[in-house]
Amino acid sequence: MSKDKAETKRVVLIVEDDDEVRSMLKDYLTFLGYETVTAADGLEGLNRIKERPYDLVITDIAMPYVSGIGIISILKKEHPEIPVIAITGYGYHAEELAQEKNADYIMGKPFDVQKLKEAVEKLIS
Amino acid sequence: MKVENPFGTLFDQIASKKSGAEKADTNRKNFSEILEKAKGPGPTEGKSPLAAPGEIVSKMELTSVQKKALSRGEETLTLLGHLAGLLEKSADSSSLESIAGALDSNSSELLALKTKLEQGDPLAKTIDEITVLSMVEKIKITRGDYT
Repeated sequence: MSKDKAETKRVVLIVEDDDEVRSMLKDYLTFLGYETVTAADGLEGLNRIKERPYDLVITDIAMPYVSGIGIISILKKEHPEIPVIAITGYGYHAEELAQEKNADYIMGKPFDVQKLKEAVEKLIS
Repeated sequence: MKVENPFGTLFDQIASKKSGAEKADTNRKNFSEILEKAKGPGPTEGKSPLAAPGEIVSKMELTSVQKKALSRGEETLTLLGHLAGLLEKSADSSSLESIAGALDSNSSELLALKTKLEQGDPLAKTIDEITVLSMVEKIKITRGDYT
């Protein structure tokens, strides 16, 4: 890969407490050509957000300490330009909350990687 | 060779527990009498002050706002617990700042949800307590009490 191409890589922050899902997302997005940064819980996610700019944030909803809803709320307040994909594993009101907090795309688990790819490409472009 | 049926043995044991007197009593009554006895006193005979299980369940049904408030309140309390754990060790300022931001965001949302609760909802008092606690901790973090 040329240096120029490496420099234009879009950066995606993945905030997910499930190790397997986080690893799968990281591998898949890396395969698609994105640079990835990961966080294992909401609090670590907030720390990562402060460290550098991102082109996209993918966050789980149900996480310890700070939920994905908290991440989306803070992100949309401080960095409204960064698109967010919310991943939710449990129904009841998580999806409704994610919509209220203006998540740009909401995916239920288990999710279709093709749909994820399309959503990422659409939001990053 | 005789093979004993274990179920048959168990049934026999249960059946043998029914004493002769009980068995005779049962035989005398018809099914409706037994059913009435099993149901206990009817609604007009000595009504219990306790609510029926169905009534309790219906009273515990939560509105969407209450569910959201409980979820955010629980998250905030977990975060405060995590903060306490961090402070026992040595917390880095970046994590503390993130916690302060999350506490601020949660408090704002809890207060917004409180305004949507019905008048007299006991959850409002709980929200007040959690919010006060959160704001105090947020102020302590931003003031530098923990660094």
